[in-house]
Amino acid sequence: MKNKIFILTSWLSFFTFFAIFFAVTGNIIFTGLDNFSFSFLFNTFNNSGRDGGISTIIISTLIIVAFALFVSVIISILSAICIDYFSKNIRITKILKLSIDTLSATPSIVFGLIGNIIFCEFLGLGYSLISGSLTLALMILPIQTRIILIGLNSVPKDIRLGAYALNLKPFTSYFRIKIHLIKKQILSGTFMGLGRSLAETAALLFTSGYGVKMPSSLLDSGRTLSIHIYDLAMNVPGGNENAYKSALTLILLVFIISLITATIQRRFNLGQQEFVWN
Amino acid sequence: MELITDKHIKAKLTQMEQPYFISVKNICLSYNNFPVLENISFQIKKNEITTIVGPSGTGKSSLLYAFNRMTDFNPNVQVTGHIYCCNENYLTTKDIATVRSKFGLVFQKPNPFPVSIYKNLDIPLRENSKLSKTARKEKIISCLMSVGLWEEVKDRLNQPAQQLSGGQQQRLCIARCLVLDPELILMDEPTSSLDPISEAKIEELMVKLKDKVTILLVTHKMNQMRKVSDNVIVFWPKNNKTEVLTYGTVDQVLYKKDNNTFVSQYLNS
Repeated sequence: MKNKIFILTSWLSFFTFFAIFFAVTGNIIFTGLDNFSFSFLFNTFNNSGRDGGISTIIISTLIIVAFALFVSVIISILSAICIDYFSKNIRITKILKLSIDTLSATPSIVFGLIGNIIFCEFLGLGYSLISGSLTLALMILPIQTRIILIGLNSVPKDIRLGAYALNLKPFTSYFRIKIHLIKKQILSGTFMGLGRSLAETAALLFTSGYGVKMPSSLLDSGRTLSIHIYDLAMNVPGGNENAYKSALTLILLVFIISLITATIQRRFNLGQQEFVWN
Repeated sequence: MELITDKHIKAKLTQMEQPYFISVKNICLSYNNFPVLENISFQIKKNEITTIVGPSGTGKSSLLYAFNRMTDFNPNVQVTGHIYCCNENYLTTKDIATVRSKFGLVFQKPNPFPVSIYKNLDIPLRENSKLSKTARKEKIISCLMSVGLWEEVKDRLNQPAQQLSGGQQQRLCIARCLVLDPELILMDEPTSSLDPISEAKIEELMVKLKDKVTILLVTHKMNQMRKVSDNVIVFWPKNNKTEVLTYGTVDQVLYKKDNNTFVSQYLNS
C-alpha cells in the first residue's frame, strides 16, 4: 500500500511539474510567436518599446552577462583555490563557507543596492554596463565559488599526496593538475551564473539603468532583456505584445546556451568514460 | 689531473667508516600523542632493497611517510629521531625540497596526474630542475626506458595517463620519481592493487633499479619479500608499540631460531 502511495505521489509530482512548465513556456511561446518576425531581433528600439526591435537590448544583455561571467569565473576559481589551500585551518574555512552560503541566499535587490553604492556612486561609474556587470559578478560569485570548492574537495587524496611527495608548488599543483579534475564544476558554476545573470532584474535596475541606445563603451547605460520585459509589462501601456516577444527571445537564448553547455559537458563525460573503461 | 687533498682523503675515510647509506636512529612516531613507533633504529645499505614487513597497524607506511616528510602535513602526527643520510638529519632539515627529491615515494595505488603521460614526468622535472626543454625530454625518455615503459608508450606520449593499465600506471609513477634523480625510493606496497603479471613486472623492475637507486619497500606479500629483498626488517607489536623484531638478510630473518610461533607463521605465510 505504502509503495502504491509512493508511486502515485511521484507520478503526480512529475505531472504537476510538467504541467506548470508547459503552461508557462507554452504561454510565452504561443503568445510571443504571434506576429513574430526576425526583424524584431535586428531593429532598434522605438516608441518606448511598443514598436521597433530589441537589437540594442540584446547587445547590452550579452555585454553585461559576458563581462560579469569573465570577472566572476576568474575570482571564483582563485577564491575556491585559496579556501581549499588554507583548509587546514578548519575554523577560518568554516567561517568562509558559512559566509559564502549566506551570500548565496542574499536577495538580489540587496546586491543591487550595494552595487549602486559601491560602483555607481563611490567609484563614480554611474548607471552603466560595467556597474551592472560588476554587481552581477558579485551576485553570482558565491554560487560559483561553492561549486568549484566542492570540485576541489572531491580531488582524490592520492593525487594530492602525489603532488606533495614530488614537492610541487601550490601553483603547479592547482593550475597544472587539479584544474583538469574540476573542469566540469567550473562549467556548471559558469552555467548557473549565466542563468542567474540572464534572469536578473532587481540588481540591474539600480546599476545598469534603462538605457536603450547602442552601447559604445562599458560606461554607457544599457538595459538587459529581463529589465526590458519588466519595463514593457509594468510601465508601458500597450507594451505586452513586445514583452512576450522579448521573453521568447530570452528563452531561446537560454535554450541555445543550454545546448552548447550540454555539448561541452558531454565531451567531458566521454573523457571520463574513457578513464573508466581503460 | 685532479689533486688529491686532505679533504678528499677524509671524505673517503668517512665513507669507508660508514658502510650504511642511511642510518635511522631512535625514531618515535605518535598519532595524537598515542605512540606507534618507539625508538626504532636500523640501517639501509646503498643499492640494496631493504624490506619492512610486519602486521597491519605497526606504523610501516607511517615511517615511509616520515622519510619523505609527508607527516609534516598532518598536525596529528609527531615524529622525533634521526634519519641520517650524507651526514644530514633529513627529519629535521628545513630543505624539504631536497628531501622529497632525494627520497621518492611510490604509493599503494597508482596515482598518475590527470594529464598526459609526458606531462606526468615533465611537471615535476620542470618544478625541481632548471633543465632545458631538450634536456628534459632526454631525461624523460631515459626514465621511461628505465622502467620498461618506453616501447609501450612512445607513440602516445600525449595521451592521458589514466588510459594506461594499472601496472603501466604504477611504472609511470616510479618513472616520475626517477626523473628527480632520487637516492632512495620508498615503496609503500606498490603491487597491492595490481594483477600477478603487473606485479611480476614491478618486482623485476625493482631488482633492475637497485643498480641505480636504493629501495626501501613495505610489503605484506612474503613471497615478494623473498624474491626481491637483500635485507629484511620485521616490525612487531609489543605492549601497544612497535619494535624492530629482527633485522638481517632474508635467510637470517626467516630461519632465525628464536622466532616464536606467530612470527614464524607470519613470515612463512
